[in-house]
Amino acid sequence: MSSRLPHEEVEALIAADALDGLDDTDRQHLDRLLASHGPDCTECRRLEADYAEVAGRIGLLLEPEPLSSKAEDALVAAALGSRPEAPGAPRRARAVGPGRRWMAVAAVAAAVALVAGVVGYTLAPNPPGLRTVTLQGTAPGHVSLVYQPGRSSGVLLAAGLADPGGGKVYELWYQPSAGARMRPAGVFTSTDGSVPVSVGTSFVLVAVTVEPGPDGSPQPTSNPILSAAV
Amino acid sequence: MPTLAFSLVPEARRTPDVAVHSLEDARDRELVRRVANRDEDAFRTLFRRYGPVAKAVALRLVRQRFMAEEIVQEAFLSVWRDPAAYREELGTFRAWLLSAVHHRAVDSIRREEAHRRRATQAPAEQVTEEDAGDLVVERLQLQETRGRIRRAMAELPPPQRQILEMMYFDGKTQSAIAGELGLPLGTVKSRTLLGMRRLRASLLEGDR
Repeated sequence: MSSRLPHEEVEALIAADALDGLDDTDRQHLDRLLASHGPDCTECRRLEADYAEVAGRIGLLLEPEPLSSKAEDALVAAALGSRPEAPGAPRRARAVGPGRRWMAVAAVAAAVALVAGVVGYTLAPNPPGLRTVTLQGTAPGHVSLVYQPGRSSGVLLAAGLADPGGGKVYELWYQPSAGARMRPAGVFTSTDGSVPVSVGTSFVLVAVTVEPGPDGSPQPTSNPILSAAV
Repeated sequence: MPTLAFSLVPEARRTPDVAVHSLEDARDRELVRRVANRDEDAFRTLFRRYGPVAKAVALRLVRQRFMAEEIVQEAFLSVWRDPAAYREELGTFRAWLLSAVHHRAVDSIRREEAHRRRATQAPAEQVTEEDAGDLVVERLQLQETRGRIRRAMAELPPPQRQILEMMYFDGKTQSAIAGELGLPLGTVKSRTLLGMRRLRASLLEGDR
């Protein structure tokens, strides 16, 4: 239907709405009008696009405001779901105990490594080369890592995990190569859902431990409860 | 500025009838596509490019720096989590982003009735008349765009400009403006439409 309907009124409302200037009643009226024109009304879509563009450009008149020095890293850390690692920062000495445990874990995990398909989950439309690995171990529930070889970002999917409890968090680790020390990939407390993680561009082992919250540990301090060799 | 007739998207992903408003616009779209592929560097580049002006928009409305930065962070996080929310056929990324920040800031002040607190907050910053931020603007390649917007705003009849500025920069509704200026609501609405139509003609016709 649509484009042949009159657009004078809807244009007035769309223009004001682009500036966030409508009252609630007018906003509801606009919704009704847009619904009556239908989603395929090309004139409505054009008006919405044009006035949104105009409104957005008005903001460019303002002098840019400097952001705080940590804003970018804080944003990226929030986006990746892990705390930022300062470049060149000295790393804490590696704990002896967990290191040995990881070697054993790697051997066992290599034997039981599974690659499972992930149904209905994508990082982006038509993602090329996505892979999934399912972590196994003593913890109840299901944890899979979706990643793309060559890229450092991934997504951890969890279902049915127990609450880590007592102010503790789950922490994901990855091992870049055999014998290398484990690197932190992100902490999470959610027992169901997904969380972005940073796993390096390649790795041979991933594992989950329970660590002190809220930030986890720079090196594993407990036995892994889930792991998988890749 | 004429629309550039090229695309950085592979043929199979190309969307028909998507206007590219400028070279910066084309670059932004490519960055957003990379963000969709979880490219951290692209995300950082977008933030460096538009975080400061996004903060200016938010700060203009909420008047508190920490709150403005929080709004900007939320808006960018939203880009990271759902980059497909930006649809190229709806215009430039920067306009879309600034609108998103504006929506959030307006929601914030209306929710918290910030209008009443303004008297105790920092004084309002004025719309830039002198381009003291040239270095930044040049780096962002926004200088020409800003000049066009400034000229377009200056060419508006003052009563129309006043209403648009109160709506955008102060986050006021048409009813609130009518009450404040002692004008019939219909007058405010008609001035809004006339002013926006003029801006649309000034700012967008050259893109087509």
